[in-house]
Amino acid sequence: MTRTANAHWCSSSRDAPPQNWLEECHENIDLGCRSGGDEVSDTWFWNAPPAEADYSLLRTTLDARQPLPTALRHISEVIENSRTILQLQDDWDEAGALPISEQTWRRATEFLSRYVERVWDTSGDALDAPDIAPVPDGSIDLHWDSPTYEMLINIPSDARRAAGFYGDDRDRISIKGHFDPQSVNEGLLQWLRKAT
Amino acid sequence: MAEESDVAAWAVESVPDSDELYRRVHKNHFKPDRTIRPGAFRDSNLSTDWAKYSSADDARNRARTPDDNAVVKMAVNEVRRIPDQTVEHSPLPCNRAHTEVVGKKSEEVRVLLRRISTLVIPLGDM
Repeated sequence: MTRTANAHWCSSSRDAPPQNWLEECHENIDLGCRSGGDEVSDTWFWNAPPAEADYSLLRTTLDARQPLPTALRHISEVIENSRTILQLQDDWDEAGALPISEQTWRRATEFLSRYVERVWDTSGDALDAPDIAPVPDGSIDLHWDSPTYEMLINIPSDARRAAGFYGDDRDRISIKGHFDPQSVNEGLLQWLRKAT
Repeated sequence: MAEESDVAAWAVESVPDSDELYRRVHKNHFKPDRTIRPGAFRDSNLSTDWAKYSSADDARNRARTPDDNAVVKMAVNEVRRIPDQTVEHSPLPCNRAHTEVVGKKSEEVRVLLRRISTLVIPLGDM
């Protein structure tokens, strides 16, 4: 039986989670399994205030004046290509789908840019490019799909609503929850490092 | 024998775990690599056609533009293993096969529905 646990980092301080926080979380999942429970609800959530650093938009499509590291060109290309979803009209799936607004697209691509830059600046790793896709309710999905992991992040059309995410390793480890796409969630960032 | 459209209401039946459902997927729910996007499984009441009363071709031909749609199949028992999802036969006067996958389609649910879906009628040229 596949077990799923919410794997968020929780701390009242501004300290980032330790590097091995996901492994620690996995250990807790294992403990939960050994104790016989079918559901594991250990939850950590890192509620850090916004970082002082300004993670500006990717030095790419959104501000072409800044030079772009060659290793991130694939991200700028997928962002630029995703503009086509703004051309979708009402009922674009023949089932009543709503069009995608410029504001939603901008929030989704700004979120992606922020995380890509954070990973690049802190580790020199380049995230894989996600599929940037329209959703019938007017929201946008960012989807990473590889043989060893899958991650889906949904940026809602209503800017006041939290974004949702789910990821797993196609086996027994998964992560899910909600977050404010305007800030950097370190727990989600840790998971996204898989996508490099 | 009466045409389906002449029948006011079909009896609601229970859908066995061993059966399959067909779901149309519009071309705009396909990635450039021709795999399906999780957005194809967004509706809280996700419309499908029960294979007991519909073929995959029937499901595709119910679309306004059949050529713009592919069809996937899902095993009922696998759908029911996904969190908070139920399979409910909800026949329409014009479609006895109509069945809904009912439940909130969180990101987790959409990923898992996509994962259990098998393409049975691919898209034509995109």
